Amino acid sequence: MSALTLFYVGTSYLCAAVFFGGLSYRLAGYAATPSPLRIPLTPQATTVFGVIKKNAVSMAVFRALFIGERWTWVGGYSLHVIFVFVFLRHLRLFINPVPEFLVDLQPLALLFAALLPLPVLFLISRRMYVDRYRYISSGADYFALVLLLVIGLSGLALKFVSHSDLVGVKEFLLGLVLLSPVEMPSHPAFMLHFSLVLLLGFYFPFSKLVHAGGVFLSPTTTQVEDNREQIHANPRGGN
Amino acid sequence: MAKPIFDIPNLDEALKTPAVKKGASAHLKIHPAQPPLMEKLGFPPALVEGWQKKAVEKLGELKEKYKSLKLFMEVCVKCGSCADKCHYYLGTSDPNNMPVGRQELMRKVYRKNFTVGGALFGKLANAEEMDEETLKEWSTYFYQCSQCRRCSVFCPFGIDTAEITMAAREIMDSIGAGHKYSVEIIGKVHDVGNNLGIPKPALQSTLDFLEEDVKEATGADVKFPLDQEGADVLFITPSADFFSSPHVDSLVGYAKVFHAAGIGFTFSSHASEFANFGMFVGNYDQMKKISERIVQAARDLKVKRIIVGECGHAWRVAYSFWETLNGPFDFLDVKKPMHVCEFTHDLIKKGALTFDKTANDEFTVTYHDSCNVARASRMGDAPGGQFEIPREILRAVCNKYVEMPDAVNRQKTFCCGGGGGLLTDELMELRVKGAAAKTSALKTVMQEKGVNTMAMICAICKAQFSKVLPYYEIPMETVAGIHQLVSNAIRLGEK
Amino acid sequence: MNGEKFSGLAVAAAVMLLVALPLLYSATGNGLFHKPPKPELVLPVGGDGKCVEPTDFMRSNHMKLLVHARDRIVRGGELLPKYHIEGCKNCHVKRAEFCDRCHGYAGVRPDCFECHNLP
Repeated sequence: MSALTLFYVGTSYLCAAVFFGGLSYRLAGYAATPSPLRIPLTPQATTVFGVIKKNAVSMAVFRALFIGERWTWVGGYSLHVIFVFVFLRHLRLFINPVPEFLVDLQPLALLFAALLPLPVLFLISRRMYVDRYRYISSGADYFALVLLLVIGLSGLALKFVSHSDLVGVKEFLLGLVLLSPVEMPSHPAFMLHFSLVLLLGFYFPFSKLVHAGGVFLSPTTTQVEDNREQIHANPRGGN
Repeated sequence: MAKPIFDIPNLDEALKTPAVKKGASAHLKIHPAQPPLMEKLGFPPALVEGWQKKAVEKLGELKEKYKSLKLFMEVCVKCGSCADKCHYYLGTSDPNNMPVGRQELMRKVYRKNFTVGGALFGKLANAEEMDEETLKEWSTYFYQCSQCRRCSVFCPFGIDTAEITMAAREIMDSIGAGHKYSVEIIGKVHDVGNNLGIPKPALQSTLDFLEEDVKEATGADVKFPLDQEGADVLFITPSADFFSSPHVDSLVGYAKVFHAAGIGFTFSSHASEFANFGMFVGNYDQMKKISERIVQAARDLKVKRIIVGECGHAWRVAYSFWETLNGPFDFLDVKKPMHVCEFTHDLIKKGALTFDKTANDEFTVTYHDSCNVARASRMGDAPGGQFEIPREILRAVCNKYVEMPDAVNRQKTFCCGGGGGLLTDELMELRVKGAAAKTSALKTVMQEKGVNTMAMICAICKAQFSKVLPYYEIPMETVAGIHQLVSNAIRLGEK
Repeated sequence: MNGEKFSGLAVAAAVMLLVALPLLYSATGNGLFHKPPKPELVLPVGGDGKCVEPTDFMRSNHMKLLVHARDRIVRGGELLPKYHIEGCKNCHVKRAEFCDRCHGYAGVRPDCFECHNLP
């Protein structure tokens, strides 16, 4: 195994550990922190099922953002939909055998995934040109967007400019998943794309990107509003 | 009304998103609490030695105590959906009054001390130490938030600035930097039993006077009992109802409803206050201690249940927090607190009350949803009862009822501009500017639908609007309590 | 552990599981610590053992050659350029033993065989 492959293999595992460990740590931290007082945003459903039903819809369509800021919703929502297609586009490289439906989906997934730079550019310019958003945007906000942009562009380059040996790429990625790494294809565009994804993996759990899991744990939106039906004792006993 | 020394917002523009004007409301300062007031509540009398470190420690303590604070500090993506949803941003144009801007004031300290990125990259990651400048910003802008929760309606993660404001105030109190208004009021509750500091004899004579007054006006023996042991109901209402106008007219309304229903009730001199400013200062122990008086009064007076009057934040505390703070209420027959609107509404449904709606014919009424009722509590059995029950009462007692525009109604209602412990004279400019959003909606229905009365069920909303509407050349008499209108229409002794 | 904390941890675990699911699928299907599977090709016997271009190049770029050849033939009217798919068939006789192996492995569906009949 070449030194370069060795470096990437080591970094990949470190990245996976940081990503999964960090994200678990953050999410478990939210879950374990008590919520002594009931603070659901009302009106709220009065049963667990009702809350799940309500959130399934409002989270699936980003309802709050939709009613709050329509253009941001257009950019943000399309970006997240694109993430789903990007995921579907890449999944075949991590699993074997590839299910037929996933193969069927590829042309459609490509069509959407290729659009990724558009919402990202829109979201970046929104932060630059609208005074309210410019005021609240910091380096970290731009960093996340620019990182996504270059990941997307390098990925598109792999498809449309400089093809890599896809079989070699899959062998390498599958080797990582199976904890039995093999030589990495030394293709510049792939190495760039892969490096940037690793960077995202390291950055993710330390950043606001944790909203991806945190959204499911927010007390105002996920608490059941059953004060009339239940007695809620303070989990800490007091204070 | 004194001539204002600031610009009154143009109501036609009040709902439009203003351009950012940095520092536009930086001059609006609170009066600090004097040492004796702070000490009475167990807070340090003045800024403590090493307060920078202590503030950070307190923040660290609170983030482990409250999931809301921890999660809200960490998951905001700064999408800006909340930015123009705050009445104080709309009214002042100050970017620190955008909910996310306000939150950032705490988040930058949080990042510096509790996140890897903030510790490593400092200012680049928008992370800063707690210092003189930061404390100045906190003590300014966390007292320009009325904890109304409107921003959280538009937040994809339900981030509620109220939780952050409460934590910030709690931290400032803990290092000896308190707000005179709230701290003084809480002290009065502990000393006298109510926010206004009304002693029992004054309370008694007010109630006696009201009894005579109602007798004269209606001929009915409507009672206003105080400390009557063995009454069915302990009635708790904000103390403003005893003294302020138009609040007192609703107090008369409550008593008339009890009279008409033939249900005995009593006020308590020990717990002559429904309001709970412990919530405004974000202090769990104070909140608990304040509501403990009510539990004590209920035990002492051996009542069967507790019904509460027209108050917004206090209804939140009662409905959402009482049992957690002071419960369970096993000694009562009805263990859950009941809102007077639920009580009246039930009686109307049963046909137990008779109204002459024409008594309110001079009024074309609209309804102002108060934030804590709308977004932090419920009435009745189904979600949204807090919107429908008051409206059904209004339609039962008035012939002319008109809705506000949807964009500022129900869950999306705007704060009156004086909630959350900001109903104080030194913040008058903020209150006038903060009221512009809702007032513009009022003006719209006044012009288009001939509205001349805005009904509400919150003592703070009533006091705030009575004071600030004249700045917009709207008469203070526009403000009314729901039970004031009930009082006008209810027929006594005919059923 | 109270109800809210439990359900919170359950949600957190579910989110993590969702992220890790594809990896688990692969791990259980293929066996950990085994070398990753790779396509086995049946290569042509006889001939000089050389394709039209070097193997590494062909792996990454055969599709471009074929597309270009198609354009030259169909649109440009040339007869048989070097990269004509019919030329491939001379050596790579069975599609199932050559093309489909890699294409199935990587989940890529070529559209050559919509028109060209390769058994």
